[in-house]
Amino acid sequence: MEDEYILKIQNLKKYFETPYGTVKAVDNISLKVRKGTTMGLVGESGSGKSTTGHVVVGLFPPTSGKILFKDRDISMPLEKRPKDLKRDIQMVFQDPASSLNPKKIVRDIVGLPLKVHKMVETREELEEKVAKLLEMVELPPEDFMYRRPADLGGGEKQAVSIARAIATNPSFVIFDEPTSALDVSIQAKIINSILNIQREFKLSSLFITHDLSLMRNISSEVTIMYLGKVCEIAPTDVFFQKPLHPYTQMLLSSVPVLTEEEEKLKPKGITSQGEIGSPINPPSGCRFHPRCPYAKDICRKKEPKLVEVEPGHFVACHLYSER
Amino acid sequence: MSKEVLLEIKNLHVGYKTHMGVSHVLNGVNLTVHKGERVGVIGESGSGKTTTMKSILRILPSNAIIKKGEIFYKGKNVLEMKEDELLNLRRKKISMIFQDPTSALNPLFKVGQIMLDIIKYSYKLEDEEAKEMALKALKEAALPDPERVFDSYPFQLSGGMRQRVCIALALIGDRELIIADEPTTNLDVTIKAQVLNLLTSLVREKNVGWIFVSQALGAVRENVDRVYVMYAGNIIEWGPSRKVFSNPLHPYTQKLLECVPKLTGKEFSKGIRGRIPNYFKPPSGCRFHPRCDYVLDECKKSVPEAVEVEHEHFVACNLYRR
Ligand SMILES: Nc1ncnc2c1ncn2[C@@H]1O[C@H](COP(=O)(O)OP(=O)(O)OP(=O)(O)O)[C@@H](O)[C@H]1O
Ligand SMILES: [Mg+2]
Repeated sequence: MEDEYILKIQNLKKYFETPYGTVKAVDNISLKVRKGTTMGLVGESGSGKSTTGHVVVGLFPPTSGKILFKDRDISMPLEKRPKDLKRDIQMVFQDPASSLNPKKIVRDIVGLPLKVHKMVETREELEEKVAKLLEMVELPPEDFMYRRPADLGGGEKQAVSIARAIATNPSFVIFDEPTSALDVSIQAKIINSILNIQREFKLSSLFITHDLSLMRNISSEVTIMYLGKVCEIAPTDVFFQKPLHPYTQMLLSSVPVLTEEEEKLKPKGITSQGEIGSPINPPSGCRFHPRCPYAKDICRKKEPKLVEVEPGHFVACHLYSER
Repeated sequence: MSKEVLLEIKNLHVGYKTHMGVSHVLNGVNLTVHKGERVGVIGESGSGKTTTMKSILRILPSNAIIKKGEIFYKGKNVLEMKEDELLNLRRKKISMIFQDPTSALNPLFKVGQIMLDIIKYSYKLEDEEAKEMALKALKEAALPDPERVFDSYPFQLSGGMRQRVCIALALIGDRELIIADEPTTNLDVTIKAQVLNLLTSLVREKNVGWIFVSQALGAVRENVDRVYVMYAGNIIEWGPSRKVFSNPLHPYTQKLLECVPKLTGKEFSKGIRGRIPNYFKPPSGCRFHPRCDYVLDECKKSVPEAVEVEHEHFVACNLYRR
C-alpha cells in the first residue's frame, strides 16, 4: 500500500560547531508531510526552521536522525543521494538575488536544471520548456526569456527562481520565506503562482515562514518551532481555533491584523514578554519557560514530550502532558 | 487630543539627480501632525515615505533636490531655517528612529558612551547628570538591566534591545515629535509587538507627536490615530485609522488591503497589475491611472484634488468628485 506521507523526519538533529560553542539549531524534531499537501513551518529567528529545510534538501547532512522521502532514506550527504531524488526535491530561497547567476539570461538560469538532468536535447526543446515554465509563474516568455537578473524586479526574480525550482518536475518543494523580502502586492502575485503550481503539479511542500497570516492561506497543516524544538503541530484550521502551546498563543496574539474578524482569532490574556534564548546555551527543561506566564517547577527541570492531545494535534507542554 | 498643529507639509516636491537624469519622486505631498498625535504613513517600497521623512529634518542625501513646497514646524518653515535653528530642531525637538538600529549605534562605542555624547552635546550637562538621564531613559524603554546595557557594546545586545536603546535615545529630553521609519521591520514577530507597545505607550505618556512609517499595514492600523496612504510620491488617501482601514476609498488602498494575507484565511488577492512607475517619466495626472480598473479620461490629465468623503476622511481620486 502506498504511504500517505511523502516526507518523514524522525528525531532529526543538526548541530553546528562554532567558536562560541555548539549551536543546536535543530534539536531532535519529528514531523511528517502528507502527500499532495503543504506543511507550514513557522518560527522566529533562531528556531531552526530554515536549517530543517536545508537538511531536507541536502545542503548539509543531519547530525543524527533520519529523513525518509517516499520511504527511502535520504539522510546521507548530497553527493551520495540518488540522482532521481535530487531532481525530485527542490528549494526556493528567501533572497532571490543571491541565488540567481547575474551573468546568465533567464533562459539559461531556468534551463540549467533541464540540461543537468538531461531532460531536453535541442535548443528548441529547451526554449519551449522554459517558455512553459515562465508562463506558469506569469512572466510573459517573449518579455523575460533573454533578460538578466539585474533587469528584473524583486518579485520577478523570485518568480524566476520558482520557475527554475519546478523545471525538473519535482514532487516536493521547500519554500523558505519566498516572499518575505517583497511588497505585499508582489507577494500576492507570487503566492498565487505557488498555489496554482501546487494544484497543477500535485506538489507536496514545506513552506517556511514567520508570517502566520500567510501560513494560514497556504498550508493545510502547521508545525511551530521554538529554539530548535517543535512546540505544536496541528491541522491549520484546528490550530487557529485552538492554539494550545503558550508560545503559539503568544505568537498569535502578537500578529498585527487588519480586520475585526481577525482580531477575534487572537488569544486574549497573553502578551509578548522576554526574548528568545541562545541556541548555544538553551534554557533547561522547556526552552520556552523563561518567557512563559504559566511556567511551573517541572517546566524548568524536565523537557516536555510532544504528545497527541487530539487526533493530529500535537503539543509539547507540561500543561497538557499530565492527564 | 488637541488640534494644535505641530507639523505641516505642504505641496512638497522632491527629486533626485542621478546619472540617468532627474527623478520626480515626491509629487505634491501634504501631511499634518497635531500635538501629541500618532500618525501612520503607509505605502509600498519606493513610494517616497523615507524621502518625505528625511525632508522634515533636511537630512536628504546630497543628490536630492527640493523643488517646491513648505514644511512648517510650529509655524516656521523648516526649509528656510538657518543652520542653528535647524540644529536645535534636530537636537531637542524632533528625533528619528530608523529601521536598522545597528547603523544608528556606532559599534565601536559602548551604549553608555553613545548616549552620554548625545546628551552632553544636546543639553550641555555634566557627566553625572547626563548619566542619570541616560539610565532613566533606558529604564523607561523597559530594558531589564539598565546599568548593564549602559556598559555594553551594541553587538552584545539583541536586535530588540538595540531598538529599545534607540527608542530611549529618541525620547530623551522634551521631544515634541518622534519619526519612526520602519522601526520594527527587522525584528521577530513577538519582539515587534513588544517594541510597538513600548513606543505607543511612551508616546502617549509623554504626549509627543509620532509619525510611524511602515509597510506593515496591520501594525500601523493598531497603533495610530490617523493614517496617510502613499502611492508613487503622492498622498492618495488619509483619515482616521479606523475609517481608512475599514472603508478604504482609493482604488489603490482597496487593492493594497486586499493583498495582505488575512489570519482568517479568506480569499487571497491576485495582486495589483503592473508595477510602481518609473520616476524619470512618471505617468501624467493620477500616477495610479495606468494600473487602475476605474480609470476615467480626466485621470490622465491632472492630479486629482482631494475630496472629504466622510468626516475627516479624504481621498484624491476622480471617482469621488462631483
Ligand atoms: N539618493 C537617492 N538617489 C536617487 N534616487 C533615490 C535616492 N534615495 C531614494 N531614491 C529613490 O526615490 C524613490 C523613493 O524612495 P524612498 O526611499 O523615499 O521610498 P520608501 O517609500 O521609503 O521605500 P521603502 O519602503 O522601500 O523604504 C525610490 O524610487 C528610490 O529609488
Ligand atoms: Mg523607506
